[in-house]
Amino acid sequence: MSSLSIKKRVGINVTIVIFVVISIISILAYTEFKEALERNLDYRLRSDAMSAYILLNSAHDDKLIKEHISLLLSPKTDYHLRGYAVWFDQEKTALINSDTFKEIKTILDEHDTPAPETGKFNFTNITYKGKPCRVIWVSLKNKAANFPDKKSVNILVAISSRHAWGEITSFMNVLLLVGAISIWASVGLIMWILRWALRPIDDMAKKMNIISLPNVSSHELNIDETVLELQPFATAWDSMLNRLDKAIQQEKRFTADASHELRTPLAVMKSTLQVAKLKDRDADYYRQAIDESLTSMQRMETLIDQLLELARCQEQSLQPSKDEVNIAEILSDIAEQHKNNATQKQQNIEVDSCDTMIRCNKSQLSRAISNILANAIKYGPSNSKISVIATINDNNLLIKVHDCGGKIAAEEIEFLFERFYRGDKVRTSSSGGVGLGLSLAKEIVNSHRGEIIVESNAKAGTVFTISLPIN
Amino acid sequence: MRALVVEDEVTLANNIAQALREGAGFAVDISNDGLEGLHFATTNPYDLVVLDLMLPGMNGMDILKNIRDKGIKTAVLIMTARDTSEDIINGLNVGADDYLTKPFDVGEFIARCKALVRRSYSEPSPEITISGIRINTLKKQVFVSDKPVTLTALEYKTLEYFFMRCNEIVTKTDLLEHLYDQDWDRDSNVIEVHISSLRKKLDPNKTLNPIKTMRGYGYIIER
Repeated sequence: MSSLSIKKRVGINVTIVIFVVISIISILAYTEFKEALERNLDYRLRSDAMSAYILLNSAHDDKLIKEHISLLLSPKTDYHLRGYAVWFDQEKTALINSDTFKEIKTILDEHDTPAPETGKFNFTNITYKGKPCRVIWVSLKNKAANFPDKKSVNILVAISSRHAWGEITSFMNVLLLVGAISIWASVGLIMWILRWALRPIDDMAKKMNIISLPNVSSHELNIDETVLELQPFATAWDSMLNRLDKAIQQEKRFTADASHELRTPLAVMKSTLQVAKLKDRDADYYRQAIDESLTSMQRMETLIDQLLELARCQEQSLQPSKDEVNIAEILSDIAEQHKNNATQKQQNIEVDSCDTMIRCNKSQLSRAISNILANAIKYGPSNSKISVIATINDNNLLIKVHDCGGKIAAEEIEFLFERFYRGDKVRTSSSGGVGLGLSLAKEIVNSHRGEIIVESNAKAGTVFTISLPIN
Repeated sequence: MRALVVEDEVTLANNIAQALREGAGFAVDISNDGLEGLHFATTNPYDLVVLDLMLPGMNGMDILKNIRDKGIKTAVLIMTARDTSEDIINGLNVGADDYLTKPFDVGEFIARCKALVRRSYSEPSPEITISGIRINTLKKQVFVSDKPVTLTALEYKTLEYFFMRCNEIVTKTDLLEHLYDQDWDRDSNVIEVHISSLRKKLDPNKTLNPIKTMRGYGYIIER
């Protein structure tokens, strides 16, 4: 059913319903019509029989009785067959009978039609010479003055019901024709109505069809112009387009940024080497050019590593974290890793951690904390203390990295986690950062359903707080 | 010729400056910050500004707008690490004369810078001839009546600057500003010394007198 169109589904269902309704009406009409015709036949048969009975009772002359009854029951033009007989009691020979009587009586006997009780009518359908006939057989108390010794009188009248059946057949034909026409017409009407009703969907599909990738959001459906039933769909579609647009813009910006960040060290390297080649230089100059090129290369390498890490992290954020690890262990490991860098700047890393087990992706979380700590070492002043503290607060694990660096401007904090963002002050310095560390940290913490908060002031320095839900 | 390089990547800025000094014989100032760059560009007469677009302090596009709003017609070459045509179109529309995408070829960069400066002095051809003296700005060669003359680098730069501004009075300050880096000692009489030796080399018989002294104003070369 799933591949059937709405038009077909509704069309088929409605057609079936109409067909069933017309069939039921036809059957009812047919039954009613047939019964009406039979009642009509029965009425005539009964009145014929009763007339014959009255004649039998009223006359005194045998001959006259026979003549009158024969005349009454003789075939008329509209009935092709008319058999009749009148006999007393269980007599084998009839007082009056038509030529067909004997045969009809035989057929009745063959059908085991029981003789009616006195005063009762008995109607039967029989087939005589291949033609349908209706027969009345009535047994009445004998009141004829001419035959005083007889107890009862039997009257049998048979008429062809072919004519009635013909009427029924032609009525059925009309019924079938009307039914067929009405089904055909209603299917057509339904299809037309459906096409009209479904036109908004077609229109919408046309609008959706012309969407091209670069500027997705310019193809929003106008909700006000959309029919009521399709409005939730249009809203969902528009919001999907918006999300898609955002993602595309983000991706575009990221690609542009990434290429920018890769091109700059490449430009440094190329220009260094080409300027060195402009004329003959001494060995010291070449050595310096090589060193500068290597530094640029190192920067590109770091950048590529971090880009890959970021891509991998986004991929993994879809998977649940599995490791159950002790936060104190993670922190002391990270502090150990950064010890050398800190010592170079005469900085001292102090770790103070609670003993809490946390479910997380260990390597990713380590990377996030490590990036923040590396940042603190890089931008914190020489000869200072950096503290890493883990505490528990309301089902949240708080990891604070505190350095005594200068104040980060409020407007800079906003952009701190943006990819490739480096504060103005550090851009030109040879810090070696590529501007992805914090953005990566944020990505990881977010994938653990946590958040990072930055507080900075001139006196106390800067605190990065990672807040992670324990459960 | 004097150029300003505004580029935040210190190494790259130094490389560009060195390329301009050695490859085009320009005097070069460097700024690593957008605001400082704008200040330099609006307070000194440069023949060329090489401008990066992504800068701390103020981005290149705003600097360019500011420069043009102040009516400064210096040739500007923008450098961008983004190769989207959007940046380039914007830059050119705002008033840049040329652009280069990073990473660029230093040779091409030098050639473009020279071409920009020539064009800004309405000298599209690299060979200029004035009253029998012909200079080739690409090969940095000088011919007097088709005979080659050997000049020092600074003498050549001085002559080229006179040629670029022929039929105009060139003051001593102009020469100082356009031929020397910012940190040069401006009080010395080095200009007079150069002009005098240039005259001797170009016109040993004192028949042509190509560089005329306009007393109280400066010097002039007339076509």
